[in-house]
Amino acid sequence: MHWIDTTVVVVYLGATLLLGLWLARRVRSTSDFFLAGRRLPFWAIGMSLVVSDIGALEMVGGTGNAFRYGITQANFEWIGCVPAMVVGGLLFIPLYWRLGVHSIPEFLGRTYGPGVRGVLAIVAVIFMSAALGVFFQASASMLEGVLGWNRWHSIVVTAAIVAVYTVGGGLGAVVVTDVIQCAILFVGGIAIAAIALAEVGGFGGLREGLAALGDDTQHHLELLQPVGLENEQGELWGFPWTGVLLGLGFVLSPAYWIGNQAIVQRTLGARSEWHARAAMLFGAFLKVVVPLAFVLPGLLAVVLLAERGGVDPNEVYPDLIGRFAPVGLRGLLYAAFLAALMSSVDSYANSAATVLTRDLYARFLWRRRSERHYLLVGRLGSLAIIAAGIAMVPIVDRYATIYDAFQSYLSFFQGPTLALLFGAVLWRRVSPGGGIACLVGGIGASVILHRAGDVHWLHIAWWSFCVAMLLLVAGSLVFPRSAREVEA
Amino acid sequence: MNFEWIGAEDPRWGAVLHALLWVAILGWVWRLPPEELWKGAPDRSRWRDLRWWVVPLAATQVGLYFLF
Repeated sequence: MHWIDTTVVVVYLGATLLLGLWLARRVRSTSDFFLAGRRLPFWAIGMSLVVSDIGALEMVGGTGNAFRYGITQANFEWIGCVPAMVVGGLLFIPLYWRLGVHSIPEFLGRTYGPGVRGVLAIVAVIFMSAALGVFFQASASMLEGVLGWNRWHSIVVTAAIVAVYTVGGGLGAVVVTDVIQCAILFVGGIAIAAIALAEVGGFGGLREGLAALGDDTQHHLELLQPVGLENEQGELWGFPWTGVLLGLGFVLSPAYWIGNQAIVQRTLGARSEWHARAAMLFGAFLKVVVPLAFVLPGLLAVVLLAERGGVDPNEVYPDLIGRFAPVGLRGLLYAAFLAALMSSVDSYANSAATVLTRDLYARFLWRRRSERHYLLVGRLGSLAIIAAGIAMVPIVDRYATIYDAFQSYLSFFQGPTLALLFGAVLWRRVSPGGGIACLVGGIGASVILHRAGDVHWLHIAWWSFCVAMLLLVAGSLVFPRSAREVEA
Repeated sequence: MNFEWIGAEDPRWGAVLHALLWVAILGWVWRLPPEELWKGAPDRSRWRDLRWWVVPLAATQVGLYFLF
C-alpha cells in the first residue's frame, strides 16, 4: 500500500478513536449510554441510520450481487427501504418515542407480556451476533483480497478499535462517528463509481457492454426480474419480482425499519418527536442515492471484468479499487470500507447491549440496581456481543455470498416480528398467548421452508409472515385477554 | 410456494403495483392530522412540513421503477 493511502487510513482510524474517547466523557447514565441523552438532531440520526444499514455489506456483498444479478440489487435500497422508512417514520416511531421505551422487545412486552419480551430479546441478540459475523466476514474478504492481510488478524483488530469507542461512548459516540463515516462512504463510493463509469464510456457504454455479453446479462438492467429464473445448476437465481414486492417490500423491509433494534434505537435518541420522524425521512432521501455508490460499480464490473472468467462476486469491489482508484482515493476507499464496517459493528454492538441489559439482565436477572451497575453491564454486554460476532464468522462462511447470508438470517425472524408489531399497534385484542404462537409458529415456518431448500428466501419471508399473522389472530381468539387487560 | 402460477406474467406489473403502493402512502400521509406531524418541531417553517418531504420521495421511486 502506498504511504499516502496508509496515512489516510491511519488518520481516519486515529480521528475516530479520539472522537469516540472524547465523547465517552459525557456518558454518566444509562440514558446517555443507550439513548445519547435524547439530544440527537434528525440529520445526524438519518446519516447514522443509512450508514449503519449500508455498512460493509453493500460495499462487498451488495456490489457482488449487482455483478451477479444486475440492477435488481437496488431493490434492497429502494422498495426495500424507502416506503417502510416513510411509514415507520410517520406511524411507528412516534409511538415508540411517546412511550419512552428503550427497545422493541420492551415495546412488544407491554402488549404480549414478559414471555414474548424474553424470547424476542434472545432472538434479537442472536440475530445481531449473526449480523456481526456477516460484517466481520465482509471485512476479512476485503482486507484479505486487496491487502493480503490475514483474515483473523484483521477481524480482531477492527473489532478492538470499535470496542474502544462503543464501550466508552455508547449511542452518542456511535452516531457522531457514523456521521463522519457516512460522508466518507458516499464520497469514496461515488468517486470509484464515477471513475469506472468513465472507463466503460458512460451509461451508453454500460448498456452496450451488457448487451454484447449475450444471454448471461439479459436481465441485468431490469429492476423487477421474472419469476422462476434458474442458474446452470437448476437452482433458483436472482430476485423474482413477486418476492421483491411481497417478501422484501411488505415484510422484510418494514420489519427491518420498524422492528430492528439497531435502527429504531437511533430514533429513540432524537431530541424531539419531530426530529425522530424527520430522521427516517431524511434517511430515505439518502437511500435513494445509495445504489449509485454500491450497485452501479457491480454493474460496471460486469463489463470491465468481462474478459476474466470465474470472478468471485465478493472480490469484485476490491478488484475495482485495485484497478481504478488512484493513490489517495484508494486510501480513502479503504478508510470508507473500514468506516462502513465499523458503523455497522458499533450500531449492532450498542443495540444488542441495550437489549441484553434492559430486556434480559434488568428484567429477568437483577432488577432495581443502580444506574452505575446497569451502565457497567451495558459496556460489558457490548464487548460480549462483539466477541459473539467473531465466533459466528465460520458459520457465515458456509453461504455462497455474504449478502445472501445476512438476508437469510433476516427472513427467519422478520416475518413473525412484523406480525407482532402490526398486532400490537392495530388490534386491541391481541393476547400474550397469540404472541407466543405467532413467534414460535412463524419462526418454525421459516425454518421448515428454509430446510425444504426450493423456496426463495424472499418468499419464505412472505409465507412466514402470513403464518405468523394467522397464528397471532387464532392464538389471541383461543387464549384471549380479560376485558380489563384489553382496556389497560 | 414460489408463485410459479404467476411466472408467466410480465414483471412490469410489479412496477404498477409499486406505484399503487405509493399512491396509498401519499393518500395516507396527506390525511394525517397536521398537528400530529408538527409535534416537537422547533418552528413551523414550511420546509419542516414532513408531508412535503414524502412527495419527492414518491415521485423519484415511481419514476425509477417505470424507467428500469
